[in-house]
Amino acid sequence: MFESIRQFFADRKLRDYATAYAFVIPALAMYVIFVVYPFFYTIYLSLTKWDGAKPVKEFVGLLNYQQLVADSRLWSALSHNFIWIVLGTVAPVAIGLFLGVLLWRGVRGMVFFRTVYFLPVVLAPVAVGIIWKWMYNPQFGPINSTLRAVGLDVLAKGWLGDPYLALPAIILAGVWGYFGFCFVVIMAGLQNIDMEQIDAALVDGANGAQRLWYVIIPGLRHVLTMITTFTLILGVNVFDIIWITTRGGPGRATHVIATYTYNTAFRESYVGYGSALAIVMGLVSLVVSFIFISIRERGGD
Amino acid sequence: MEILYWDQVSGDEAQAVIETIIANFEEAHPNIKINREVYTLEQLTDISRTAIEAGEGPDIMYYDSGPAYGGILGNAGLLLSLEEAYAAYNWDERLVSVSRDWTTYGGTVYGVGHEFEAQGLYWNKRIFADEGIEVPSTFEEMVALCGTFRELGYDPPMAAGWADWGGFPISHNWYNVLANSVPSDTVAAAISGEYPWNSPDIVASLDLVVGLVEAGCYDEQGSATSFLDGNAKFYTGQAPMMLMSTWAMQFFTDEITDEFGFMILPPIEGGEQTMIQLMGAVWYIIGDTEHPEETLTFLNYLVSDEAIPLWIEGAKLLPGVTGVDFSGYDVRPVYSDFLNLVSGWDGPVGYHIDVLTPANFNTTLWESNVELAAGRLTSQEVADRINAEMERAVEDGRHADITG
Repeated sequence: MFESIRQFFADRKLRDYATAYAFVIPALAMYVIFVVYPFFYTIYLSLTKWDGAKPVKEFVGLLNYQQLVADSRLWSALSHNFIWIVLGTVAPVAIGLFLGVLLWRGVRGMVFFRTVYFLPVVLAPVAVGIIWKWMYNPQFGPINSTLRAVGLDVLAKGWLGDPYLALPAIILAGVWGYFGFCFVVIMAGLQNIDMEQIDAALVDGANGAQRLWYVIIPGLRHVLTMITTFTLILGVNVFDIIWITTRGGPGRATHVIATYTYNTAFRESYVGYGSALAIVMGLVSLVVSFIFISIRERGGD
Repeated sequence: MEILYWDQVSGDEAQAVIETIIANFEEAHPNIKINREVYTLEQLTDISRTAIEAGEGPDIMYYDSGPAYGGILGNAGLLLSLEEAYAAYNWDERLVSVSRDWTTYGGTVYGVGHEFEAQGLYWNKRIFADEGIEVPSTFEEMVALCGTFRELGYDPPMAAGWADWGGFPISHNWYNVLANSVPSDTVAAAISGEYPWNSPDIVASLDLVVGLVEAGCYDEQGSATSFLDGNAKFYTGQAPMMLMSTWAMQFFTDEITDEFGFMILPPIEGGEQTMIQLMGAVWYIIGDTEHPEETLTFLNYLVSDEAIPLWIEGAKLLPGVTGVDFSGYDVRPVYSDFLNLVSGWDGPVGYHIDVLTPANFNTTLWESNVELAAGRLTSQEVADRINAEMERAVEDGRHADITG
């Protein structure tokens, strides 16, 4: 037996395989335990009616999925996700691009600006939520205090308590916490822009906007697609900043699918139905990712 | 041996009292050590079920009553039946009846209720005297007072904030209005799923809450103001009135110099003045505790004659015990008013809804009431929503039958 083990290790090819698997297996095991197993178990739970405590899970087939179709709270939450995806993607990418281009050619204090813009990114979304919850406080928050101090009392609002303003207010907080990431990645992408093309455009008489549209943005397409894909997925899965600031309120004004799922599964103890919601959320993420990865690959070709 | 106790007592004075009670208990029982861990209700809801199932839960926990909280655990067989303990410790006689009634799930009693509370109207005696205003004797007078106080510059006339508790506080105000405008047996039938929540009488009670909003009673920023910030406007004299449970009395600290009055919600025309009584929270013993006898001994000590003065004078919380002579206690006048009111009350008793209704009903109710206050939903729409949730709960067997 020891001889066969010795021969195994004497074979370089087998030894390489063994080494490779030795590195892969722990990560694979973690992936199976913490991703694959919960994923399939969630699918199973989504086919049951269960309160999360009783020992028996009643199998109900696709009933939970049938109920999803007529669930107005789900559609309301998805519409908020859609708003988040659109505004929460366009705004940070646009701000990052604007600031990146502005600082690209080198300005005094470049490191300072880069640090300041990136600083909110290092904060956990929970911290961003707490900061902005305080900023929006109707009584002593800096936003209302400033408005009152300059005589604009009429504009002072209960930002997070107004059903029409709450979602845009949280999106603004989310954009603040995220645009620095877009800025830094775009800055890195700008270093690869071919300066000869910029110079050629200048010689051809292209103005700033034309250079941006026809030279810089095409040159950043891989970077922009990557950021956009990443941001879109975040928009589908957004949870923490909303939970910290409004918990989906006032009323249902800021519920997104993740907060609604959490509420249903853990607050209302409808774990089976909550699992069906989680599967829907996963599917939406998957579809969004697939579409944009396809676009990116097509762009690469 | 050690007992793990999960607690949700809030307020500095109440925290000090429970620590004292534990120290006294340990002194009297040197072989038992109580390890107390403090959580919020939200945290307990999130972690208790999983922790107990994993064998990592406490021996005893202080959690809320009703199908949405203890009921989930009791019905899943995760709590220890206290039927024998009620007989052994004579709790049926020593404790108020709602202690058993509100902690019985599936025909078995699982808890001992604590923090016996009532809901009602607080008023600031100094402001009422300074402004020469009489305490309202009817609900309609109370609503009219909101306009009067607005004109006098009090903003808001009635302290409230429901930004962080998802509409929970404004819904409490509705429970009060409901109890005083719809007969208790009708409300009990609705809680039991035997009477529709979108019936005209219940819709009319929601209209009365809309009336409070339209009369300018609440802070216009109520849905952006946290519960404690909202209540603080009453404690600090900005708001002259507050509709709240007696739980709020623990926040009348020594720094607050104003004196306050407390009364049951003034009677609504066509209704009968009704006191909503509730147990703030409940002690449950976990089903798989390794030390049931010692934990029961500790639980009995928590409601013992030694602990009662500490609860009343120190924590300003009323234990759910019977036959207490309140006259000898050194407490704030407003608290003594409440104690006397409770001990002398012989009128009808109403229900605190959300401790008896299932969680899906509660979250829908709270969310919808915020939208009601914001004018985004009508009373009928709110009633239709909660009725649909009750029908769902009945179908799933998650409701409480309190009429049987």
